[in-house]
Amino acid sequence: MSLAAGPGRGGGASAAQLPDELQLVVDKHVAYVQSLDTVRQYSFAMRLRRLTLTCSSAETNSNTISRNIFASAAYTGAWWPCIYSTIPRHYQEKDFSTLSSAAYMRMEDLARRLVMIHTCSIPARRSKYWL
Amino acid sequence: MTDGFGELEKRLPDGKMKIAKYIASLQQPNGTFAGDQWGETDSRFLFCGFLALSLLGMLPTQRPNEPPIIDLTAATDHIKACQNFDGAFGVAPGAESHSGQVYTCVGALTLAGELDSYLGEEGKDRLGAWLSERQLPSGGLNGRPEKLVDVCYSWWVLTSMAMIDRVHWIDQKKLTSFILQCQDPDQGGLADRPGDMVDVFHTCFGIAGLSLLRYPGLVEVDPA
Repeated sequence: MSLAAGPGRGGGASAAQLPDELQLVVDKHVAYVQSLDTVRQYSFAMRLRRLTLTCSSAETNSNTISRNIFASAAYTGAWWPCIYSTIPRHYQEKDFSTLSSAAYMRMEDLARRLVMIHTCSIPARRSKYWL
Repeated sequence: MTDGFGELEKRLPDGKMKIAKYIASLQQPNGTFAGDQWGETDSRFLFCGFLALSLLGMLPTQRPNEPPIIDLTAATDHIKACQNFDGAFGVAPGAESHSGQVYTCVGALTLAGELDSYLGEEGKDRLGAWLSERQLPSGGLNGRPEKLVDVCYSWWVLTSMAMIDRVHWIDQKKLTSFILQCQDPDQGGLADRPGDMVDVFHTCFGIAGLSLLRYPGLVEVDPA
């Protein structure tokens, strides 16, 4: 679990190679890390983290709960590409510090759904929670 | 790594001291540190505070002729209280031993210069034995008993063993093989276990673990 996961999957080499034949694929790892500078899901993770901080500064009991939800969402890693695509543009660009209570509740609901999407481990079932 | 302290001082006069004072303000009466102004305490925050202060050159041991900005004795006393009968450390006094917490506590004692005097060879043996038992038949390491192996513990466990000079107590060849099996050989990155999705977190700690294992071609990483 991390801020941003994928797109690849570990273990591809192990089936075809004996343990003694495994080598560190340095160039591939460098390219992977460089790609993190531009992928949209990483940018979105940062936005969620900023939102988490904004929520915590409001410092009410209900916001503490929300903060935990957003923190959970921000630290989920497996399905960022599909999660990001579900966020309405309005929310992606919103200045969260000016959200009204009603809008905030909608964001909270959104975060809950993000967690639900993430915790649904069977890809085919994800559509059930599509926003 | 980039040294940006010069730039910091240029943009924010006395910036290093301001940061150090903020960190120091998070220390609690019992010696531990809070993560922020809302007060959650954890040995992770204590270690992060120590590490940041050491990078800033603001630990009391680094400025022997200046008034200390933190209570080092209270902090190390708190760390020592987190040690359990099995030789490992928990998140707080009385909490279950966990290798992530072992890293933070051993690291904090190392930065404070008290690791050798506190643990001694007997303490290192006991802690080293607990850490060695984190290795499972696959070669990977877990965080505590009965848990799954995970590449990130190649750092948390192994760096703790490096700080107490016990890296040779585990099967290094099998751990190296396990880490390499977690690679995506096509798109790069390492996953927590073979078959899972890669991410930057496990990529970082997997490669750091390989560095501790002296994998050819990698720069040597500082355990603390």
